[in-house]
Amino acid sequence: MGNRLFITKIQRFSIHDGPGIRMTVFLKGCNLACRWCHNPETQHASQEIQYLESRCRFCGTCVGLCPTEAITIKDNWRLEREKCTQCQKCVSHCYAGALQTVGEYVDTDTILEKALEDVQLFGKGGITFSGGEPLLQAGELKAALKKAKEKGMHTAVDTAGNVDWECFREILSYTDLFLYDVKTVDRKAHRDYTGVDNQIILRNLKKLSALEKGRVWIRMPIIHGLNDRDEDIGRFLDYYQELRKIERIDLLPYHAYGTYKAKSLCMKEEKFEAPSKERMESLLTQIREINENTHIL
Amino acid sequence: MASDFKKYKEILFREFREYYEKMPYDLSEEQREMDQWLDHLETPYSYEKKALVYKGAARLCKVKVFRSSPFFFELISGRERNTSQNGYPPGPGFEGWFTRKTQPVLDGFQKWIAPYQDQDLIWGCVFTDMAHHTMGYERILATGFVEIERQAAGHLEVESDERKRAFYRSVLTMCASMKQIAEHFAGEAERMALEERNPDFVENLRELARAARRVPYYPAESFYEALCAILFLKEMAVDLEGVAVAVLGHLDRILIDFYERDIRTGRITYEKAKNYMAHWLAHTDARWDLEGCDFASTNCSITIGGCDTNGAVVWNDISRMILECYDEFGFVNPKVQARITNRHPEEYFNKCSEMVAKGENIFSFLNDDVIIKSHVRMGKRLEHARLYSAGGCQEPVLDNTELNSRAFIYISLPQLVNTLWDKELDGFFQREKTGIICKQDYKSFEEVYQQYFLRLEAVYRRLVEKVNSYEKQAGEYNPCVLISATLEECILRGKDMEEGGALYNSTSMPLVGIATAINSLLAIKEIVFDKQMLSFQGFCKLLKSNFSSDQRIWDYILNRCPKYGDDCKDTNEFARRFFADAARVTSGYQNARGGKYEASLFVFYLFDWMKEHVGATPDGRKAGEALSRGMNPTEISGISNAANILSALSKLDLSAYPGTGVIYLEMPVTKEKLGHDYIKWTLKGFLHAGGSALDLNLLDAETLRKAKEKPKEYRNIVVRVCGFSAYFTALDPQIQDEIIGRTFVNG
Repeated sequence: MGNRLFITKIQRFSIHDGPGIRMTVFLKGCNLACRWCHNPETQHASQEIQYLESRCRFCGTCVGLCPTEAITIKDNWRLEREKCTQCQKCVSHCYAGALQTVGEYVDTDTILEKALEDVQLFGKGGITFSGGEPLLQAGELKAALKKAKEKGMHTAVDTAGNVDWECFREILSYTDLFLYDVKTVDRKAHRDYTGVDNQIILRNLKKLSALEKGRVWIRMPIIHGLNDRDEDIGRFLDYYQELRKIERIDLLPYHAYGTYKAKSLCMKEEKFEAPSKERMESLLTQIREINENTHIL
Repeated sequence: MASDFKKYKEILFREFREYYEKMPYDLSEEQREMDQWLDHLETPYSYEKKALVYKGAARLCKVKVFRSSPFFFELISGRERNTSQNGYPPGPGFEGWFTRKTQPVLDGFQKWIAPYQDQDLIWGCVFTDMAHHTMGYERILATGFVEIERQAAGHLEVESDERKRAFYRSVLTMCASMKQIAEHFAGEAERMALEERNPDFVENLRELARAARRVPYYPAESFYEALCAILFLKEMAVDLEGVAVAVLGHLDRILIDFYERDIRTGRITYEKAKNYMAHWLAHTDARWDLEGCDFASTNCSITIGGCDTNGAVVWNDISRMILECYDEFGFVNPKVQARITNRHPEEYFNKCSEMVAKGENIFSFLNDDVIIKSHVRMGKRLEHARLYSAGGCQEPVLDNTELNSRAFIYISLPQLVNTLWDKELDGFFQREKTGIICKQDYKSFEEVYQQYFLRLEAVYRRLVEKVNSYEKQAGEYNPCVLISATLEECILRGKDMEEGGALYNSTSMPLVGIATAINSLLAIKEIVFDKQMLSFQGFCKLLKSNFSSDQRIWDYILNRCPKYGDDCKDTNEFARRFFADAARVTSGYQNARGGKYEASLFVFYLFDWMKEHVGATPDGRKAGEALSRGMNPTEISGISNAANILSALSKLDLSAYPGTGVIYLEMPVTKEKLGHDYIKWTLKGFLHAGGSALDLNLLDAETLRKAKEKPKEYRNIVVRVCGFSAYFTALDPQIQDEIIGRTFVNG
């Protein structure tokens, strides 16, 4: 058995996670808890049962099968997570696919074999490790990146950066591109909305941008009223002056798809507002002044 | 030199519209006169009867010349405006005069096939393809009808076989008629030039008149004359032959020598040639009622790229100007069939990709390496196989050497699955005395699989017998002397193309719904044999109930059973076996024209047309829902990832299917428009995977929904329907819904 990564899913034909047509692997586990998170299923570093209400037939099979009586259906389907032993019986008998297990260990070689096939297919692309926070699995990730490079693939890591610099150092030699999330430069807002301080994040990005060989694309989720105000952008632009080499900036307008997934995992659902098209255009214009290679995804 | 297309585009479209919207013009009196000629004609040979059409056209029909166009093509023959789609049923004009009389030849076939068509097991109403032909354009450009006339006369002097002599006599009548018709155009243009006040249009008319005195009777001597001859030939064939010539030729290969000669002599410049090309291409959109027709497949196509007879890559100024014309003037037709290989220059890929990325959904892409190989595998010579065009949508036809029947009868693979258990569908096997009985149980999945292919083989074999027996009368039903005469081999053999006069004479009866069928068999394997969740009989009852008797099993089928396109090893292996077996049992039979049957997965819009009477299928598809499209995964499988689709495709051998199989990819328009690079890489991925034909659509489902609601605000959206492009807002609402509902890449 080779290395294994703990992942939620593999997305092929991924066109926004680095150059070319890529395979993106979503690693499970994150040390941020962004309230707008688009991929809440990647937050917890453990296997979870996901309930997709729209697919549920309310047939009651899961209720009958649950050995700990953790599941009930009265008005709504409900799982008492503290009672759940993760035996997966409910999932394996839910043919409608309403119950799914999120999180599995997948052999790195299997992932890389498929990724290589796609690279050969499209001629341009590579593999991107995203999440969650892939650097929380730094050891396994390093091994995967190393193997990917040995196979001649372009590698990218999508990180929120809230890890010890040592983690970056470990993978630098095998990572062609960092997709680096910057949520907000405002320290308090960052703490309020992600649960963590942003100083390490901003410091790591500075270091990364100063490296001779480092290639960095900044990715900014844009949430109306939270980080799209003029003062927010002003702070970002100020901070940007401290950075050395940033190849590209992607702006990702908020969408509410994450709330559906949060609900399916019994996580707190919180809805935010998407910025208007006009606002996005205005941000684009402002940020293009410091980096022409800025795009809205 | 022709009037500036850009300057006069609106006037040209208006002039065309004013004429075409009054179609069809009444030519019943002229046709009655031809009836009288026929009454007095003493010949047993159909060619000479058909030759009355050419003679009638030359003597009785007027011609229409458009002052804003430098080309001549419009014979007033009584045909309907949107006619070139099909040769059957016969139209009201000269094109239908002959086949209206020979309809009894078809009656028996139509009576035979009707019950199977009613069952949606087989689709088709004619025993020969009447809509996807090409002509020997190159031969006429090189030698003119004058040479064909000389050859036919020469044969006539030495030939003793009366039948062949009748054929050659008809060729002579046809050649003389074509010359006469072209002269009518010249005369009309000269007359109009005297009255015309706009000097630009006077120039059109004078140039046209000069050309019409020369081509196609004499060899073309310039780029312009070559364009004139091609258009004239194609339109005469549609007007008079009773079959639709869909192919306007492999233009960048055919025209490059004329163009380069004109450039060398200073006769033309790139811009002037492009102006001619714009006029020429505009002809299809301008004559068709594209907005008032809810299924506006014009069935006109041009081919670009590919290679020449020596295998040298074709990409030149003609290719460039064609693409620039579509890009600048927004043409929807003729369909652009782009032959591609990894040996083509990046410029070609970039230009096509940029156009697709802009939403110009006008292309089909054809993989030369796979398609050429597939024809060589069927015994055709490499230098001939290299010269293919796409005959209509994506069904290939070899230029100058081939007459094929590719898109006239279709077989439903999913309905064939249901014949495994549904006695009510067993009529075909009983009535046709195949010896195959509907079994109530199967001991193993292998037995099911073998039984399935026995049935496919039985259906195909019986169709072959029937088609062949009727095809022997194809020369009586509708000889096509005009098209035949342009094919060198027909003249050498003294034989009409409908009788096997061409060098290659292929037939395909395409297989519809391959993914639905594969998934259905996979579901039977999983539910009945591997997991033993139901007995075979139990599964049959579930299907009879349209899955209402057991929701859980239906869910299991939809969500747990393997599906073609999931790119799992076992599924890929099963799909590979199915594709190979389907090709094997539908290939190699002899047809009545001396050619062979060739496997095909080209299904046009039949995935929708053949759905109504197909009950629930074992893959979870409910009764009446559409079958899988082309060779795509099924819509209900939800498999939409282009990497998955192409990766699964890469495990198949499409060179076993000379009739092609089409992959459709609906690419989503992203917030920031999809960069053209992604289109290019997808094209390269298609080539790498060994696909044969690809239709790409760049769409935004939300915009399409709005366009359906407010058509006036979205008139210019062009979509690929299935091998052809159309204005979205002009389509039938059901087709609009089908397109909106398609599973988008990564959707």
